[in-house]
Amino acid sequence: MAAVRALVAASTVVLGGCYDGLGDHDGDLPDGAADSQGPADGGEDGPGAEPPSDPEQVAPIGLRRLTAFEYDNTLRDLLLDETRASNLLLPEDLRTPFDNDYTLQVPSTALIEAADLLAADAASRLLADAQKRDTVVGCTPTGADDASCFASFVSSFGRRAFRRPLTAEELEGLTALQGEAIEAGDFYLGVESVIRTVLQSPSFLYRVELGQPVEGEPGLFRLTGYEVATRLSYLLWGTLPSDALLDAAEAGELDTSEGIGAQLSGMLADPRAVDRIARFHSLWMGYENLPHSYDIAQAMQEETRALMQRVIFDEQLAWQDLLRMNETYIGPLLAEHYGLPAPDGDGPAWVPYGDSGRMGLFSQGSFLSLGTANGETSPVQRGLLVQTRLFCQDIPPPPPDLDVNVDEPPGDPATQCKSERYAAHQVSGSSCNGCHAAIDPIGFGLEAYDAAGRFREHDTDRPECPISGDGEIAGVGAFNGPKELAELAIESGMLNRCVATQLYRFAIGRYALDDLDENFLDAVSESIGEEDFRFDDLLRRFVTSDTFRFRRQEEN
Amino acid sequence: MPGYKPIARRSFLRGLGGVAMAVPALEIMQPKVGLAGGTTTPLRYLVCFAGCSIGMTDGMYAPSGQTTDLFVPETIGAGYDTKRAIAPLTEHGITDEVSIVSGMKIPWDTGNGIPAAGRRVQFHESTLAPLLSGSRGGSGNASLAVTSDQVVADAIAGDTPFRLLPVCVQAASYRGGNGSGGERGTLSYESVGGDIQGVTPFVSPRLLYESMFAGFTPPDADAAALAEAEFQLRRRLSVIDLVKEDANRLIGKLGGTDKQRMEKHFDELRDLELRIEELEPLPEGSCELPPMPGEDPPIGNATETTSGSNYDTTAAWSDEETRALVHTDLIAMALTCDLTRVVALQYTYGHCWLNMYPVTGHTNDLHELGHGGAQAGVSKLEAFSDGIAWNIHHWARLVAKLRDTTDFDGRRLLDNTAISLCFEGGHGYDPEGNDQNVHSSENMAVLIAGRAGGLNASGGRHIVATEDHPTRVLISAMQAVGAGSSLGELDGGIDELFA
Repeated sequence: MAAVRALVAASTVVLGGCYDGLGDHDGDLPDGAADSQGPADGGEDGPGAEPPSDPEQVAPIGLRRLTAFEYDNTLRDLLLDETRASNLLLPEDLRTPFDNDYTLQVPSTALIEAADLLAADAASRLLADAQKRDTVVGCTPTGADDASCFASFVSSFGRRAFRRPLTAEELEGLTALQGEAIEAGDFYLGVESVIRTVLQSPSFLYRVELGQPVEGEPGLFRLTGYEVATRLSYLLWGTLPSDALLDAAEAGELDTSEGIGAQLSGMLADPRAVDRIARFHSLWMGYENLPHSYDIAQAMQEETRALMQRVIFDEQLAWQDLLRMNETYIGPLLAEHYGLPAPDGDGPAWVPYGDSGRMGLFSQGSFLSLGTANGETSPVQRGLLVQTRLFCQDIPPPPPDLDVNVDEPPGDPATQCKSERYAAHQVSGSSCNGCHAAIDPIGFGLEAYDAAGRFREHDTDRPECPISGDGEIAGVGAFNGPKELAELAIESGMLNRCVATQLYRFAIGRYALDDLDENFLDAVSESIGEEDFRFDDLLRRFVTSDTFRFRRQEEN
Repeated sequence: MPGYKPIARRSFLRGLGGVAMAVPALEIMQPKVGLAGGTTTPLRYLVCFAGCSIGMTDGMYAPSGQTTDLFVPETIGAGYDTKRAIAPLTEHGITDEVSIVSGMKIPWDTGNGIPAAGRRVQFHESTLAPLLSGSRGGSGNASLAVTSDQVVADAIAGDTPFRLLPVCVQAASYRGGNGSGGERGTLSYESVGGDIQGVTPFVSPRLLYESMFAGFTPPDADAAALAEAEFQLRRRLSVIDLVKEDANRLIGKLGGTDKQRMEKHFDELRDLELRIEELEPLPEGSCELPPMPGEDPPIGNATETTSGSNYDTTAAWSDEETRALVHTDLIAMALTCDLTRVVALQYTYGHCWLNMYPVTGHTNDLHELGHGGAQAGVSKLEAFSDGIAWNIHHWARLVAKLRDTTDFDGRRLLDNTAISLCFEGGHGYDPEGNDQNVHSSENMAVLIAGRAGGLNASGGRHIVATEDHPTRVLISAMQAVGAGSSLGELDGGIDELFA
């Protein structure tokens, strides 16, 4: 395996020879100085906030609405409500592959009606369960007119839901709802109104970041400690901040990078962090849904999650060890599926890969199920996924006027072997070859593993079509199979910046990047280098950066 | 929890104005506008969409290398024949109400850029933008101009509670993870401060019901019940008022695009408040409270398609059959009650991966059926046509309901309506593969029913409009409801539809 160290590091570099229309991020940057009418003073008067060390690393971030997944998590932690049914009512969260791109979250009648109905449902469920209700309300009212219990509920519930203390105006408005409770002689009628109000308020539905304007930097804002707490909790847990985290914000402990960093290890020790980081990886690589029977799909998800848990959390190994792990967590079902030795006992356990040719995440069914269609592997789709998702190489779709049918594989499946059919893409100098030279050979390197991750020696039902499994990352080197792909990818030095880039997209809720984003990613990439890095260390670099404590207003 | 009563979501205190208390048994929910002051009965416009072509290659029906369909009638004019794909028109007895305009074409980029009202070469989704907006699409899937329903809503919505009702039957994307490919599930595009934005449809039948019909107070309610309803309405308005205040405060603090988004959010909240406040009683019609649909069917898993015996017949399915039935009933009643006059109804996503097994018995999704995916005992085209027919069945059921409903003026609701059904593609030449197949915007067809404004004056007919643009049929529907005679880059409809 002759590996050539990759020349490419920047995520937007386009593969040589592949036509594009990309790479130009100039000209559309928000001009902070141009429009200073931006309001957002967070209610603070007086001198502006201290500037970040490098304002050119602070990119725009807009209002982010809670995704359906985050909404359900938030209800769980706010109201002890495990229903998780918001996806029935909320608009489908569009995948970029991430589900939280705020540029795609457009308010609509359907959204407003859904927020209203979800709030009504949640309030009804809480009041129907006296134990949960009492926990959430936090005091036992002496009667419908118990003003002190009502006020304490409004204040504590509002702080958790809005992720900040309520303003005097908000307190006044919400506590006034007790009037109707008194009129009806039922304290909890007021509780219901408060919950319904809060859960459909924009301050709950959106992660609002106002901050304090930075002096001399129009459009730039320093986040409050509460806003930092919210960024931390939704990034690391996918839900609202704990009371302890809000208390830390209140005490000013999140006003410095050191203070933020001090929260990190505690937050990562929470089981919700495993869910969140596992979900990030599944959205990123695209195995959130697997095209297999329920049992197999569940077992594969469990297999991959166990790998995440072990490498990133339990043993805190290098992120690269996700790709290098020489054993995998499977039960008898998957062992038989993969043709690996069965674990002792009925349940899943770590089973060594031995000399099976497998290693790490790329050998798991979750990853090998990607880029498949009609139950068959697509070398093009697999190659595209590796290039775009793992190496962050932008590969454009075929040009609009090109005579290709992107919906059907090339050639005649009845008479040609798969490798022959795709040969048309590789005619040197053809309109296809410019891009496909960087795509198909990666897919063919994984071709000996079928659409469910099982090893095979020939095309499906075609013994006369042997599969060599030989593949290549253009400009990097040759490989055969997932183990060698992992080794080559790690050795190429192309992974680290891309991992940082994908995490950044997920963290800020925006897929498209501009120069300010790239400035930050340059700095992070430089700091983690091209060798092994730990994922919790990458997270630390994120959350302790100035970028995490500041916000640039998005201009029209 | 003694005395606890949930807030009625929508207390329609109709009847408080002292009108129409004499209506027996039926719970009549009177629309707020319509015949007041002697104005005319409103006109209704529905644009509907199915995410499939109408024909394909099939050796049993067409010579090798050529495409055909089981959709377009052999007969021209009235009394046309209904083949397999459009058989539901006969089953619902509406062939004399539905005209079929066939032989149409959306032009594509032949190397000189995308032509007016045309599409880029790659198929799937590329027809949606020109079809719905009459304007050329771009390199992506999103429409670059407002769609017909928006233009019509501006013209005829008046102050109905729902200016426009966008509804989608298919509940999720079903491939690559639910949520992949949003434009495939977007039928309506509006202008927000000059930006063209997709409008999120109602997907949940329960949400649609709750938004339009929940909390209704019967007109024969006694004084105590009315007092209770009045109290609940007051509570509900207190809640919305505080929510609006929150949005309003944020508008004052946000800047840039955030401010714009919050303003849009606020506008929607204000509309919600107006819908809740709606109190004016009005003359009765056929408006009734529909039954509650109950809980929504769960959202099915996404799946990559595998064919034949490997096909997972349980995935890529959220009981769209039930969803379609409920949506149809609710939309029909919303039109009857004049809660809305304009509907954009999407049965299936563009490039539709909805599992067709539960409704056709063919083990594949609609898209793969279009490519000759597995089927038992029938030819490729027959299996695909069954999938097309499922869309048409639900559309035909809606048309039949409108036919069988008496409008405020005593005529049939269908007589005051223009309702069309268009498809993602036709069949024929495919510039991508330089051959004949299902990926084509040639031989497209549009169904159109309703008699508003002299539309279908001679009843349902088959009209051949060779190489004319299918959006011209939508323009005819717009003309029928008095919403102009042009859309985007296209002028004029199909005159024969008024002959």
